[in-house]
Amino acid sequence: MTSDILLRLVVLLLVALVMCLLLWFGRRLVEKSRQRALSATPFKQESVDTPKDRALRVRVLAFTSEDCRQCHQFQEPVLRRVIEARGDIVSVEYIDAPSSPELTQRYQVLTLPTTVLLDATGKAQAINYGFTNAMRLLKQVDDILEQEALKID
Amino acid sequence: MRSTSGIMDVPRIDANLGKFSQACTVILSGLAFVFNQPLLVLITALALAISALFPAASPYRLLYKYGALPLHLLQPRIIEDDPSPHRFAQGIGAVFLIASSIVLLLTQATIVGWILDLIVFVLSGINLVVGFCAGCFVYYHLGRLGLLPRVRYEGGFHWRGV
Repeated sequence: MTSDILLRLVVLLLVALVMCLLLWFGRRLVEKSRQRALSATPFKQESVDTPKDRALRVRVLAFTSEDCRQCHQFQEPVLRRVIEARGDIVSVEYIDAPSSPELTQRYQVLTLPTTVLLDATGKAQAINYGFTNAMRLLKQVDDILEQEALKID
Repeated sequence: MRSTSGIMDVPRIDANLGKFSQACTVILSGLAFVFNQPLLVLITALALAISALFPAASPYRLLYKYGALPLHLLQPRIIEDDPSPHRFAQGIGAVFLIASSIVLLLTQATIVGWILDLIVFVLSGINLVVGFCAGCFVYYHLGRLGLLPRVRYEGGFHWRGV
């Protein structure tokens, strides 16, 4: 009886261990891609704004494609809500991933939708692979603005 | 799991109630396997079935509301999400566990029965640990095919933190 319980416990632990290992490898892979993307060269934008205006802006690169239903059905409405919530501070640029290989390579786009948040210098400060809700995006925008405000002070 | 109308009618759920339910399912299905208790599989199946069909009467929800919350073990964490895919996922879990119970209680094919139980253990564990809800993923794709209502919001079919 006891040996049967022990055997079953070992089987259960092995199942859990294999599951954890697979998840750990998966997350590690994604995290490596994210780190490479965050250290990519800044994505500059031509602008005539004053340095102070530029410092108070966050650009969101929204990677999408024509046949990405999740992008159109979920991510785009969320991005509209982010713009409504933060106004001119945030701008969204939709990027067609299949026709922009250089950018998808630069930001290690693993899946669609992917959103990349750039600070005033064009440096990526946050990258979300897959759908991202409004609360998370707004927090990332606020974190970037907070950092920029500290730089100005 | 709770759904309320929020700003711009965005559906919302209590994420911690979801985590609590998943943790209970992992513990119960795991214990059932370790102690060779098919009846515990049936109890877990019924708990999941009630949660899917009558969320207000869910045993997990009652335990969370009258146990975990008053004892300050957990705090509600309301997030934007559609509750329907999560209920569907609980229904799928219930179907697997009911099938497991039938096989374990009425046949000699115990290995098949325990494999069905362990599938629920693993999928609930993945949802608990990384937030990937396999049932929600199926619901989303069935919605795309027009077989189920479309997901009104996120659906939880991506990895948390990815």
